[in-house]
Amino acid sequence: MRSKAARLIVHLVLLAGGGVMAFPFYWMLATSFKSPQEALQAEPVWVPERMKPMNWLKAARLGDSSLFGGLGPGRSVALFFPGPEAKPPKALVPRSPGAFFDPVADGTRVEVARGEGGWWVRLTNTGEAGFRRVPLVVLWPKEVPLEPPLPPDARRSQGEYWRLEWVNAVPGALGYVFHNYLEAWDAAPWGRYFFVSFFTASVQVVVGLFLAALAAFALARIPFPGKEAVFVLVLATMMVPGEVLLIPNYVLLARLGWLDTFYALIVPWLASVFGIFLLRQFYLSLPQDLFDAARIDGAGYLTQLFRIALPLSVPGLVSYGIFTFLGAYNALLWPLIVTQSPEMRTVQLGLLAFVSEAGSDYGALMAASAFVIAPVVLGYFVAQRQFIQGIARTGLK
Amino acid sequence: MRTYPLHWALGVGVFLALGLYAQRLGFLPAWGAWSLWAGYLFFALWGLRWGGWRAVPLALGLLAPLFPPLAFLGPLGAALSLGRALPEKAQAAFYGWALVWPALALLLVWQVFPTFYAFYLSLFDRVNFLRPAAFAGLQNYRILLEDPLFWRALGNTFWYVVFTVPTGLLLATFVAILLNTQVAFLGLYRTLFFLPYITALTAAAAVWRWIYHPEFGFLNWLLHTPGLDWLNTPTGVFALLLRPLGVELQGFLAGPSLAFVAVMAMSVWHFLGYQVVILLAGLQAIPKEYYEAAELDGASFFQKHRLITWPLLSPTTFFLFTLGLIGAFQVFTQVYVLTPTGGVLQDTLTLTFYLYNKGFRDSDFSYASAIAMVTFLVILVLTLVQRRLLEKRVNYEI
Amino acid sequence: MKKALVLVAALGVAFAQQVKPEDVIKGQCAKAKVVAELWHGFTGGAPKAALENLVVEFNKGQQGRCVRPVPQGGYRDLSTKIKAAFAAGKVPTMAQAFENNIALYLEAKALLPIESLGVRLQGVNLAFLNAVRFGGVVYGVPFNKSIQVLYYNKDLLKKHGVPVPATLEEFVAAAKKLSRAEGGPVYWFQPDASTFAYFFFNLGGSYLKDGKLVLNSKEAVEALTLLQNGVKEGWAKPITSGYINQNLGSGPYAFSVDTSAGYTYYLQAAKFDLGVATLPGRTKGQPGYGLVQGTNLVVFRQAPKEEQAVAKDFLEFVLSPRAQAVFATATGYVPVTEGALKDPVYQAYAAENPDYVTFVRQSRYAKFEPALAEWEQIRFDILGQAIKEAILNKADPKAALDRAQKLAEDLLSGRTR
Repeated sequence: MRSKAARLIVHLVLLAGGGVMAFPFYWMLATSFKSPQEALQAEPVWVPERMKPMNWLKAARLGDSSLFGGLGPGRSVALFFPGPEAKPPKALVPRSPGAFFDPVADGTRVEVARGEGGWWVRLTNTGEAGFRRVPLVVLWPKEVPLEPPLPPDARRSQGEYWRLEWVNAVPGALGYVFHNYLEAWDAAPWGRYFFVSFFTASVQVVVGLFLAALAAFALARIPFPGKEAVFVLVLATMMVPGEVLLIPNYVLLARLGWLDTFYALIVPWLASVFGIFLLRQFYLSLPQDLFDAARIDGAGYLTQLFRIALPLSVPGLVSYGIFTFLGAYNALLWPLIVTQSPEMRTVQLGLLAFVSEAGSDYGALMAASAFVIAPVVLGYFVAQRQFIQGIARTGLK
Repeated sequence: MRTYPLHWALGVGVFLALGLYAQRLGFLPAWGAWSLWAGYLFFALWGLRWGGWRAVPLALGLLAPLFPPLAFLGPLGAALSLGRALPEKAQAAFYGWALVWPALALLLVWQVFPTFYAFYLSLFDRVNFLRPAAFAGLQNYRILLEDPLFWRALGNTFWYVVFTVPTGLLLATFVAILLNTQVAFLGLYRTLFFLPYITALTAAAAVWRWIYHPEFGFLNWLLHTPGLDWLNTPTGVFALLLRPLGVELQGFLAGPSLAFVAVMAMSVWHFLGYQVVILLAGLQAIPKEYYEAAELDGASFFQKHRLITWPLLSPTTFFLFTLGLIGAFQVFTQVYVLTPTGGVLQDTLTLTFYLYNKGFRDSDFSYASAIAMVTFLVILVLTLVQRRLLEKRVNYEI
Repeated sequence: MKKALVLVAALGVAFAQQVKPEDVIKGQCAKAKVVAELWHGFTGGAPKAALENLVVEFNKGQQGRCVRPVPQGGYRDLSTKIKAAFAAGKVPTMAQAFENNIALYLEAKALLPIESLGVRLQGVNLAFLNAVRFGGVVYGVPFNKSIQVLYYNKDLLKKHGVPVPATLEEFVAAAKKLSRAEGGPVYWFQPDASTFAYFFFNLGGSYLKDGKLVLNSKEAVEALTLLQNGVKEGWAKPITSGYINQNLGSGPYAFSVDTSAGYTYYLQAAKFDLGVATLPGRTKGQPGYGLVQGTNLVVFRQAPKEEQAVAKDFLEFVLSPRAQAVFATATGYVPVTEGALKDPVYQAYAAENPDYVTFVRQSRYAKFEPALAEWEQIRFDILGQAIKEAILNKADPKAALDRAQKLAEDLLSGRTR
């Protein structure tokens, strides 16, 4: 492995492998910036229009605020399409299908006017409320070359015209780039989902860690009658696979009337055999002298635990905490079973529901997937070492 | 009467608290709870006689029928109030148990009791809370053993182990060895391989579903197979591969369906990072001197790894193998997101998925419990067999 | 008419302020003393929004009481969650239920007869009402009822000068002709029990013979063979991933037999001029029979009296012509009362969208699947699998259905699970 060639090969192999591993992430992010028409292409679009800085500048000019866009009451926005006078384009604000009444379509006046060297499409809000999004359709004669003020999100053929569609003609720069993210975020109460997930996972980590630390300390450091029996019992429960517990615990929760509450998400997972086992190993590895010295100074068991063992075991606690948090945050099956109302949905359940709701809007679906995994990925970059060590430690016998 | 077993009072107190809860849920008759209460009364009186006024907190536990946790807090209060009056040995006994009990009680309620309760439920005929269920003995098990879907799920679990465990281990070992060559940018590579593992399976599966899309999926573009519906193709892969040769395979021999292979590929991707990190930790624990000595002897790259890495890494490999084996029985999320109906012809059914379907879709909690118990048994037997056959070859000494 | 405008405006206002109806209901129920929960299986889209809008409108007229719709995932999730609610002893006041769900709940005597609540059922479509009549007593209010209709591609039919088929023979002939011309199968179907039911019913089949379930009758084999041949001969294309409307972009499409509840989704997805017609039948004079799907609203016996009183008012509201008209036009479900057809909202909408008239016309030629407690499992796991085996794996239709019959008998007699 000394030669340069060998090193190069190692790098190439690792890069290729890493590329394959990372590709789904790239594809998720790329799709999350695509318009539906870009996403639904048999030939992949590698860099979507919304990722091109030129278009950000164009979008910034559209809408009341250059960052967030929008169209306030009485305000208007004008889009310029260069072209000859011969054949005027048509423009309209499409109605959302199936709606009885569409305030945006009904409250927006659309005018097409001839300007110097091209056509102006002017949208005016005649309603009383501001619009965050104004969709626009322009029918553009096929024979005229097209130079739109912002690349259309979809372009279809309609008789002698191109039907150009924009999901939002007043996006502002951020509204343009992050359209799918805003769409996905608005489609469901994600804030609540995140709260449920974080609360569940945090309580499991904090309380679970504490209980495991107590038991582990006793098992490692206190000689009490029946210790071996307890340890054997703890090991024996490790043999029971998780799916055996699904039905009986569900029945138990149903009888308690705890279904669809935080109790159901948290309580059954508070006692972790794995945590006890891991922390016991850790406490066993601490030198006995520490505790002997403390005992000579007159410290009781509780003092030894809280003053010596717990502070020293912080690394162990962190690694086990990360592991537990990941497990709780990423869990799907258990929350799927024990919750029913949208208020009690975890992020993963919300995403699962969104998969069926979003249908073929893959841009929004990928955007939702991206913000669902974002907290954990960010956490990883902040505390990379702890993550790796925490996971690695689970593999030690 | 010199000693007083306070930890016994504590134990009886915990059981009293649990018994009171059980009684409220109808799992324990009232006389059971009362006899526990009487037992606690006995210990409380003994404690008062032995410890005098300082043992008074024990009496708090007698109020447990009002608030069950008092039966635990009572003895705890007594121990704190007695302090050094308790002999050293009794203190160890008491605090040992007091620290163990909270976790232990939760384990008893949420893991030990349910295991037996699952078996109990499996003995009834179609428990669904709507109609009263009759005792049916082992009928559910008899039906289960002839249930083709159960066997399909078991078969899929088998294929899952055969396909993913060796692939994952080989790839991970290879990557870990490369990463262990003091390569530059170790952190970057490790991150690339590790990220999929911390990504939620639900989100990852949603992305993969998009990659597998029959029309607009990236994979079909890459492989020039437009229209291939990966996740909805129920034909076995062996059958697909051998069909051009004129061989038609049927049933189990046809192999896992293409849809299930797609699920497995995604699973390998997801878990590879974990295996790499564990194996890398294992590799780093092998003393460098071994390799240096081998190099002095002129050993080649492959000789070094066959003679040093492989044996010394075997405990780690064995651990990952066991984990993969047991994990195969618990595959659910990726299958549920990628193929929500369990495959067009129920061809991506896994044991946990089947259990979920029977229990939470068809509301037959007793049959689902029977599936759980049989799965438990299979895992138990496999673990024991594997211990006897493989563990002998594992080298635990470094 | 004024009231109509108010209702339509009310539905619109929710959009205008971009306040979701969900949140409006939350506000309404925060102040109410009596909250009647309605558990439903709408996962999203037009049906969920339409239900929520109905509830918003109903709650406005209530003082100190409200209905709260609670989504429970899909329909199959819904029935599981209701069973769990029984275990916990906390049932909702109302829920959506298929006829087979009603049969199951009745085994536990869990439902309240609708008429005992005092809800008037005059004018409700008799076929729908008879489907929820068990032992002469009505246990559900038909709610979101959909009917199968023929969706077709007007552009494609016009291009080849093919008229809309009126009989099964014409239908097959048209599909063959168009498929040859376009170089790919133009009749699209999901290989499931719903598609099968259309052919089965219109070949004269019936699931129940002398009160006994028969899945492998002569007509069933004929229906499945027809579909299988359609795939073999290249005029029928099975769709296995998602709904048909989600696949409309891929390849030539001319026909599909699908539920009217999919109407809004078809409209959104179709890049061509979408047509809707009554189903091809056995003779020219009369449309073919369509399978009725969708649920009824049931009221649980265990719910407190005050909540049942809210349920009564809500059910009457749901059956009112205006509510029916609004709900039906928003979703593509069929109005369940005759009164709705005379409602100005409905008439105005139908004048613009003749497709709705087609739905109503088709709903007079309706058939149901058997209301057995185990039907859900039979429909998906037994019959559905047999159909898929025949269509996708080229299994012999007779053999597949014989096997399904045996499996169903075993299930019904408790020999399997």
